[in-house]
Amino acid sequence: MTNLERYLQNASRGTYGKTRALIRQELEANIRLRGKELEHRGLSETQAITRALEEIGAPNLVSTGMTGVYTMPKITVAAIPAAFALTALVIALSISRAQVETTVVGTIPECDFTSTNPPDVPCAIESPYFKVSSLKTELEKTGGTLEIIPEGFNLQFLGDLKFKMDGTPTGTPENQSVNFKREGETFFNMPYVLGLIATQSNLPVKLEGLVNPRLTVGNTAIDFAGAAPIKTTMFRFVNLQTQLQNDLHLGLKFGMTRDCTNLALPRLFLCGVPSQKTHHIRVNAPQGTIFASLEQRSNKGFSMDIAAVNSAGVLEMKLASQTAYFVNDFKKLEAGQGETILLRLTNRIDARAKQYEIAALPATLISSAK
Amino acid sequence: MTANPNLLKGNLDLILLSILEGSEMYGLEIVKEAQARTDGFFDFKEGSLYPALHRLTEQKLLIAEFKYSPRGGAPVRYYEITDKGKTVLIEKRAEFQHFNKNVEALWGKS
Repeated sequence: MTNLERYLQNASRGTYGKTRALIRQELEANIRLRGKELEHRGLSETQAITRALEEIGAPNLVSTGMTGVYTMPKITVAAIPAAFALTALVIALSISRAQVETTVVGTIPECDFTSTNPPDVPCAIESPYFKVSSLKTELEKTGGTLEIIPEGFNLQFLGDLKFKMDGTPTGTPENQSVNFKREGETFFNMPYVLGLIATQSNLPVKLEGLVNPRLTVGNTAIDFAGAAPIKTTMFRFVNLQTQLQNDLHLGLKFGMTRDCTNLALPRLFLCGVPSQKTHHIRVNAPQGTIFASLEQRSNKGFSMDIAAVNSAGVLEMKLASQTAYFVNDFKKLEAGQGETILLRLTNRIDARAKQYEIAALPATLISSAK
Repeated sequence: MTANPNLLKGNLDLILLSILEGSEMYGLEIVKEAQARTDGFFDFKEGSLYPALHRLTEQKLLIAEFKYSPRGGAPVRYYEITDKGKTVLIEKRAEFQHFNKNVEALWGKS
């Protein structure tokens, strides 16, 4: 297979039938045209095609973008009643690249984040995708490094899920995985992960390849490559409540990308949005113990943060995304509006596979103060 | 100096529609035109343009057709702006100017 054939194959990945043929034809024509120009400048045919391929950029610039144009809309604008159906579709797409037929349900209004009230009608919200290249850039600004940009992320759900909502059948095949690539970038779509973690708190979930073998932020680090426990206090997930309500529970669109509402970003470069809330929670745990916070309300959404116990024995849980705008604080939740759960994050569970376990523990919220 | 990638991405539709306002072009030609008109400020990876061009075509802001290029070779896919595209371009241009004007107003008061 020539370099050009390989490029065309990769660039058209994720598209099908006539669309795929059209994309290949268009790319090949432009590449060969550019190749001819370069030949006139003295390059051999092979050199010219190689140069033209370098100039056009990585094939996934095309494939993920085209998937977003042609393939993803067919699953994203559909009336999918609940998270599992949606997850299953994404899984199916990821694994088999099968085309999924759906029904378009009309225009969904954009969410108004200038309001302090939750939307009273379904609205579309930009999904909090974790854009890996942005993370790398921001880390470098802070003096940190990101040694490897993973090609994609894998999520495995182990065993039968107990999750049931809105008539959705329970259960999903074992060991499914989800990968996302869009616009030539690697993204990790967190709602599925967090939704399942939140509602399946007894379910072991492995996050494989979630982070790089080594991620450093300033003087702190997460090291997945060695046998040591997590070292950082800076790694976090950010709330997803409204995201879940809209994307999963109401089955509306997802797939937009937004740098500022990323998940899994170290807090030092979270976007400065007016919805930041910080909760200080005293816990009985040694300094450095890492917790995740979850809020559940009748299976409808939650928020999540990850932080380590500081020297004063306090967890500082910060909600700092646009989607956090609608989240009640811990105090209200304690008054009965919902349930707050703190989960202690445990160490890596498989050294060779770099798998990391988030293990559910009984609720351990001791006190909170604003 | 080249364009900030985020600004580029955020204004890609406006840029593409602006380039295609004058005449139909194919992908490679669009990249070169952008570079030429801006003295290299807009330096796209050509591969990043095609998804946007296809999206705009799906939105009926552009129409596309395979034609032979004067440079020879196989037919290339030419993109042409539609009437709807021209209307959207006017709107986007106004939005952009309005935004710029207001940002500049902030500077004036600092």
